[in-house]
Amino acid sequence: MRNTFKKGGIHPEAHKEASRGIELLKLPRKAVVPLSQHIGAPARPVVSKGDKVRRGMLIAENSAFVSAGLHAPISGTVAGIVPVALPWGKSTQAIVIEADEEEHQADTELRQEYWANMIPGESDRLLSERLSPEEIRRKVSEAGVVGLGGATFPSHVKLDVKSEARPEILIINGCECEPYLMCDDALMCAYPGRIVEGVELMMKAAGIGKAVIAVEDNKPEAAASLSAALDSAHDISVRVLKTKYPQGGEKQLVEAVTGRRIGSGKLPASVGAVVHNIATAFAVWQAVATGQPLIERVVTITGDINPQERKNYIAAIGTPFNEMPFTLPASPKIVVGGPMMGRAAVRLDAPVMKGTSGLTILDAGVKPEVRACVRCGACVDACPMGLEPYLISTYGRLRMWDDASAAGVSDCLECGACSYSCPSYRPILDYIRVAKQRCKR
Amino acid sequence: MSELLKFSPSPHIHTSRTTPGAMAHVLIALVPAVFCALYFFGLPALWVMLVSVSTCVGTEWLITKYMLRRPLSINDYSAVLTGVLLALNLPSNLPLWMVAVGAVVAIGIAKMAFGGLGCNIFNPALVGRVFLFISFSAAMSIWPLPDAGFGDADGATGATILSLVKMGQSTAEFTPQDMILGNMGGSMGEVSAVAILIGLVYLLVTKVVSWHIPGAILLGLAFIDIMAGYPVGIDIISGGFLLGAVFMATDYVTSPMTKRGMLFYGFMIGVITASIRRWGIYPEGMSFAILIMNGATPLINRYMRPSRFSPKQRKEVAV
Amino acid sequence: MQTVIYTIVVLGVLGLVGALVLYLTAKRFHVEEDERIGRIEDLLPGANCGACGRNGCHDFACACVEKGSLEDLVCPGASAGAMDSVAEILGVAPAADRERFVAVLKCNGACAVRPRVYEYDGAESCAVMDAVGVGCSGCAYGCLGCGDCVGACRFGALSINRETGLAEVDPQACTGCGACAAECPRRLLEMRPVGRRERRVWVACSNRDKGAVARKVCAAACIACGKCSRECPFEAIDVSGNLAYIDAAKCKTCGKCIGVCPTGAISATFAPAVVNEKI
Repeated sequence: MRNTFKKGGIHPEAHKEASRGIELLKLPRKAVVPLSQHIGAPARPVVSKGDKVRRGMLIAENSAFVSAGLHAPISGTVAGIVPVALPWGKSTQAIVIEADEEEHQADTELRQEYWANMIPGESDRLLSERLSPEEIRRKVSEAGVVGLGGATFPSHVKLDVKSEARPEILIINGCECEPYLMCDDALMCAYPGRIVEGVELMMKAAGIGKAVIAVEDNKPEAAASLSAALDSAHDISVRVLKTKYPQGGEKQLVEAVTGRRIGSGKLPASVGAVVHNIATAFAVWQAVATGQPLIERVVTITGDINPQERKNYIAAIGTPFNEMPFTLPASPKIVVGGPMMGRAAVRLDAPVMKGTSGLTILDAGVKPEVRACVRCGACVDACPMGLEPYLISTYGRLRMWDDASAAGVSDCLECGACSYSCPSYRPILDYIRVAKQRCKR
Repeated sequence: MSELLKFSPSPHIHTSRTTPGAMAHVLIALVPAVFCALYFFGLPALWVMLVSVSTCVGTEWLITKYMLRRPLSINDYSAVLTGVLLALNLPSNLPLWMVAVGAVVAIGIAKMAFGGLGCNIFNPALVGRVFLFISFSAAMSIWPLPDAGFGDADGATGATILSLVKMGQSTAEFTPQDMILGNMGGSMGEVSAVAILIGLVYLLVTKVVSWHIPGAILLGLAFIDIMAGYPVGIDIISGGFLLGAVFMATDYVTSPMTKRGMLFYGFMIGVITASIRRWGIYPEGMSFAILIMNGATPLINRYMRPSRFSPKQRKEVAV
Repeated sequence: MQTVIYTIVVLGVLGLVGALVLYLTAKRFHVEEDERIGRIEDLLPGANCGACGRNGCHDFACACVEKGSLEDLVCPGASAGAMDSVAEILGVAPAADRERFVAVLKCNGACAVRPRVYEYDGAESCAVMDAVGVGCSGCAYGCLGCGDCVGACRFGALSINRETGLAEVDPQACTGCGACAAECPRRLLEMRPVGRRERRVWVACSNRDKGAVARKVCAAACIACGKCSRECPFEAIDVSGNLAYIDAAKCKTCGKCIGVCPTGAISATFAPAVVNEKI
């Protein structure tokens, strides 16, 4: 049986070294909540400076069809709606909330109680039967749930599948193909039952009869926990896929599970599939079953840091990076997300956002010498989309946009397999990105 | 935060394979062949090798530093590798000044004139060898006989197996064991099949070379040999077939980039080599075959592209 | 000896035959072209920069001959003497002196005023750095100093000043063709008129963040206070989007705005009458 995508792919060292248990990271006293943490229009604030808010309260609403709301991650007073710095330096509008000692204490206690009651395994299976698809989607929208795999697409929009495009299969992405990151792995081991319920809710909301949870084979415990939590009432199965980067990429995942290839510029719906991240499934369950909106998520702190510091935390949205416990290595490079596609951060006062799956802290060291292209073809072998990275990169560098477009630059996933594989350390992806952005215009 | 945070575009991790590392692996894979060359041909072989390597490195250094005024690149071992490969393609009794000329041509013309590493179309070591062959064909056709034991080969020379075959004479004096181990006349690197095969295994294990090119060359050779009714096994272990198939044709820069392209390239090399051996006037055809297909490589790269994940749309994408 | 003679004769004959073939082919397939086109083309810079709006210098020369006049045909790269010679070839009066344009950099965030606080170790290209993030300083709008513009200039008019970390234009070499402006990912280079007696004034900042935010990352940022706009006697300065902009058409290069700017964000090619200590 097919267990991976056919074209390209690389096998970087997985470095799944963080401890699998999840700890609660203490709530911040000051939370910075950017208005744009998702694809689509930024949320519109419904509070103003000086307002008092409670944890979980709506502070910004959907401003368009494709948009998502924001909720207060801590109780406190709105200090202002001001420009703040994102991890990569650009500034953006955000709602800043400050808590006093009392509010902070109360929040912490309630939160601990909430998670203590989340007994792994126990579940209320009747939820997806009781609620209608519209009700489920409404609760998801009200909770501000977005895709937690990093793409941050508003989930209620993705679950609102038009009847003409009746998809056949819901694929839940539990691959976590990025090295170092383990937030999904930890979640799958800790709350498999809740996740399965979340999947059932999604199936009901989108009107899909069959679901497959895909897990890479370097996560046997996660696969086992999930399999044990399945029941025969719903057509949900766990599929173990070969560990290969980028197995979690939408197109590659759909090919591995269904055998179908998504066309250029098309979505999974065009081949009858809908893909959601596994953490999103958990967030959907939380929103529908417990009423908690998306105000915290699992974040992995890992990399070239003290081994004891490599952990998975439940961190509140808006927690600044410098409140997370890690010591920096000699010449630090802090990557938000995984090391293959994550963005390097230059501000440690930047906040955790809905799409922050983890911080990979690397010891950058000395940059190796860039040499001439030796035409080895490693990049061509690695490219999962069957492109010629060395060629498109040269077109990008020489500003030959038409040639780059004809060579298929718009198909590029920016997965980074090409730059990873180049023995001459050439910045292949950098110039492909320039060409891609230019060709999009 | 006192340290400056580094930022750069993704990806932030990298494979441990490097270009100098790949060259180093090839040099290691050549150790058995070099050892056999010294064992069978003695001190003259050492001199040829030293002159070849030092002239190659020196030429690249001079040209890079004084003509191109570019940062030095000799630390990527490619000049050393060219030097060793060129030496292994030459008879051990070649006058040293000719070796030097060959090295200058190999690096200066075949590599640096095209733009340096990565820009050459033809394999530099082979260009050097063929240049010497065409310019000094007499000196390049006198192959010393091996004198096992690192001895100073006492100047005895004789016909190689392939030249005997070309002249229609018997090759009975050479047993297959001789041919495999290296007890036969020929260039320094091509005599010992065992040494080269050990190198091949090393390169396959370290993933520097894939089986596609050597395999396809074998197939091409076998295809013609079967049609011509010649024993394929003998053809493989005689002459420069193994050295060329494992070390010369697999050079990254001058071979195609896709697996499909490599198969076609290798097959044609095998076909051309066998054709020259059977029906051409030269006893040995490997060098010419590889150079011909090197010339075809840009064309192969252009027309044998990898297949796309999403097939190309018919309409042009607006820019 | 015989061989040598035979060789010379045979090769000589071959050479002559080849030459004859080439000559006849050239004659047979010769394209009739007005010989003036070639002469005009020789006078042009030959950089094919496209600033004239044509597809290269040959196309411009063809257009000149076709039109028979120099109306609407301006080569910013040619010297005045060259254009006069072109007019002579065409047999028309020399073109009136038209306005020359020159590139200016709308950023004066030198290392001294805009500290570089992050270390970059990616590809040395402005386009790449801009795509990755904000640059080595905190300003998301300022000059990155990697030199994409330098590579684009076909007249050698741009360079990166190692001390300030900014791009520098050599106004004598610059022809105003606009290639650098197209290359800059942050659109920092603008083609402005050379100005009478080479006097030009422009706002050397492109930061569109609110004044306080901009000032935090660069001491010479425009904070859109509006003082320059109020001071200008010709209403040439417009402040919008947290940034001031001087309209070159209205500006009379009096230099009064330079004196009142609190951050020294306005640059000029001459020393203003009132010295601003901030600069």
